[in-house]
Amino acid sequence: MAKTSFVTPNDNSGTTVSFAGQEYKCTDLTWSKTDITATDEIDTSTLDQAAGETVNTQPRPLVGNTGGDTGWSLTFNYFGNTPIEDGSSGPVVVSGNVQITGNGTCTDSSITATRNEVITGSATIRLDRPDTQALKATLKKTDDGSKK
Amino acid sequence: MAAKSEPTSYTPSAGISFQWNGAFAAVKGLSWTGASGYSKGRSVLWTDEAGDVSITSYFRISQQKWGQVARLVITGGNADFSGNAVLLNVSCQPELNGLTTYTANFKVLE
Repeated sequence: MAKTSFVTPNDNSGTTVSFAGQEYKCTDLTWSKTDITATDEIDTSTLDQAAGETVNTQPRPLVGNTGGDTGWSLTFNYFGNTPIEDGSSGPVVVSGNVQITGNGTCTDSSITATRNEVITGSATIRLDRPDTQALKATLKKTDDGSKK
Repeated sequence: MAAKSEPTSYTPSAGISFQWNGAFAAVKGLSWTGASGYSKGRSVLWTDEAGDVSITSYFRISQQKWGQVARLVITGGNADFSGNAVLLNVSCQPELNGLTTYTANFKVLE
């Protein structure tokens, strides 16, 4: 009988979050990585293809993405009554059982005040990718449209 | 209690070919409108309402064929159509960070 291995669960105690030199009293966070190259192709399928054929795709003519989206982001909620300035940039450090070290830019920020609750803030930080150049190289095309 | 009905399978828009003055390749979209309105006896109006065909392709469609009349035949995908048609116009649609497509509009003559 195959042995099942379990990953030791990590709790989230001791997690600290700082952005642009400011430490925040974080209540929860989500760190996500999305492969922005995965969907960055044009569907070039045509009507003469038979049912069941593979969808034709072609890389986009421009390298990278047009929206500045790196695919990496950190969203966190915190206690506080001041929203983080949108567009502000700086170092991102998350320590504890979740660890992030890098730079980021605030793309979304809000403050919520609810009756009989403490005021909370929410922010989304777009994280810079250390492999940006490698990502662009992946997307770079040859003249015949194939990826290098 | 009514018996559970089997799912219906419809004709996919696949395996469609388009011919007018030769075969058109890389067709990504088409539409046609059949004759309606006036009867054949009213010649001018009948021509006006004989139908329209439009296709969009990744291939460049030559404007030099403007005004030419040829047999137009669409087969496959339960979209079959045939008739004599004249090329009315060709338009071009470049797309930022995408591909350039061309649209040709035809008028069905008979």
